[in-house]
Amino acid sequence: MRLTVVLVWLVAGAGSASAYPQFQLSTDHERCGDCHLSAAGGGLLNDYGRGESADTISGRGDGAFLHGAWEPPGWLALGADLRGALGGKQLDGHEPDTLAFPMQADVHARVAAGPVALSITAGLRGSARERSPGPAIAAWVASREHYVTYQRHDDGPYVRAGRFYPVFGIRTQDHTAYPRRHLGYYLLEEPYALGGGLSGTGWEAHGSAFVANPVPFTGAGPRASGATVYMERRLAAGTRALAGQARVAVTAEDRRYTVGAVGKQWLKGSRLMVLSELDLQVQTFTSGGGTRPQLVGYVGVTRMMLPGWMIGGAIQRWAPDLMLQGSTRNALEINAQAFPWAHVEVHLLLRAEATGGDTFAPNLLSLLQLHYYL
Amino acid sequence: MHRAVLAAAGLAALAACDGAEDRSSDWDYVHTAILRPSCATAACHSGLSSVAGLDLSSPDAAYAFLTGRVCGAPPQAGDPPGNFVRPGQPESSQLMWMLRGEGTALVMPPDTPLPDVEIEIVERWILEGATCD
Repeated sequence: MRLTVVLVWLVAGAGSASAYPQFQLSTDHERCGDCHLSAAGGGLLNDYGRGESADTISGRGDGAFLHGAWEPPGWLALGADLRGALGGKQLDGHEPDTLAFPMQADVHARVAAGPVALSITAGLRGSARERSPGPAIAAWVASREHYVTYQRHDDGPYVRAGRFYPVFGIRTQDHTAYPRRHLGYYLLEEPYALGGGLSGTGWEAHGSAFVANPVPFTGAGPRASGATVYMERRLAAGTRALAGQARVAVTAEDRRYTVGAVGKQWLKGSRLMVLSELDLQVQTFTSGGGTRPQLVGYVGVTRMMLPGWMIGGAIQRWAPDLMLQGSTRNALEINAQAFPWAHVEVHLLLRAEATGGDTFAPNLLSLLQLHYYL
Repeated sequence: MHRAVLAAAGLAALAACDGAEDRSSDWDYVHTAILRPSCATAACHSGLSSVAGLDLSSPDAAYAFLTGRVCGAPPQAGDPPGNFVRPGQPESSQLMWMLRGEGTALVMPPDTPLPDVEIEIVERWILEGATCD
């Protein structure tokens, strides 16, 4: 067995751990913005969310910044995420590898002046291997989100501009989940965008127009321009949500048109939270190559045993070319997450992933993640 | 309801009937459909990281790195730098060894290898001369 120690503050984790969609609906909160400072969800928690992280999620400790030792002034919100991982992987037909690497080291800051707020998430990054030539600071630091928001009231409409994760699909904390991995929301693929949203009783809508990252060495993924829209409606007394979404992304090499649906169901009696997403995408190639239809599917079921635990599984499918035989990726995974104290999470991920429809020869991954947030 | 089921069954029957030979082996397709999404990610061969000095994020840069040629420039004698791609000779191209995990412990991509059908398209591109047009 080979030991692979990735001695880095790895970009491979810098985009994760900022949103837990399982908590929507299952904790009697309909909107992500109930607990997050951003109306679009993700990122820093508000005071209420910090309280809930201790009382409802962990059941122990003080969820406030610095565990309540110091309270920032009202115009300032601060936080941090530190995450490391231990585990192993075995590709089909190859020797297993052991993995050990720091995943995430992000700091978050939000400065508000009346209805205007500046939000920044920045983290250390590095490279497991040879570093590329280029500006030294970009080799060590990455900021996946930095944007200015204008919002008069907590529940009111908002607009924001800068670099951020447009509202689209299930924003899992795991960046390798197929809807994120294959639809333009993988690591450091957040675009520069102008977006906004509004909400009412039982519904919310968000839209963003984005452009290719003007500074390529600060991001990754296709350098696309385009737009997204996402509309969600809550039903059944806030235990169910259905959403429709669409996206267009254009690069010099291709165009991708996506439509999709998201379903969320909280089964209170059995304490099961179901998250599902199905997206159909058409990719056309600028220089020949024609057009190919694509599909992303995700179904996850989580048993919410809060405070303290949530355990679940998910099946995922990515078909980059629905008409091309043997091109699909399928994954089955199990997640066990423990929240023993406020600010602490232990997450065990087990995944079997089969490429090309070869279900009986999967690639295996196990990852134990230790997560501390401030 | 029955019509929907029949339509779904029809779609399922029609789906996934093409093989690698039905897809383009032009460089633009190979790069945009296969290499860019699988290799040019944040932690690997993007402009952000350029692991091992390889930036595969743009077609021109990726072509130059893999073949040692500038797209549009006349072919030059000798092996390309790093021997990632030897035009016309997939069996002696390092890129193919890494994609297939043959004779090397370094399988690419290291998290999820490409399905065989996509590797076949890359192989055909090399076999047909690894041109960029």
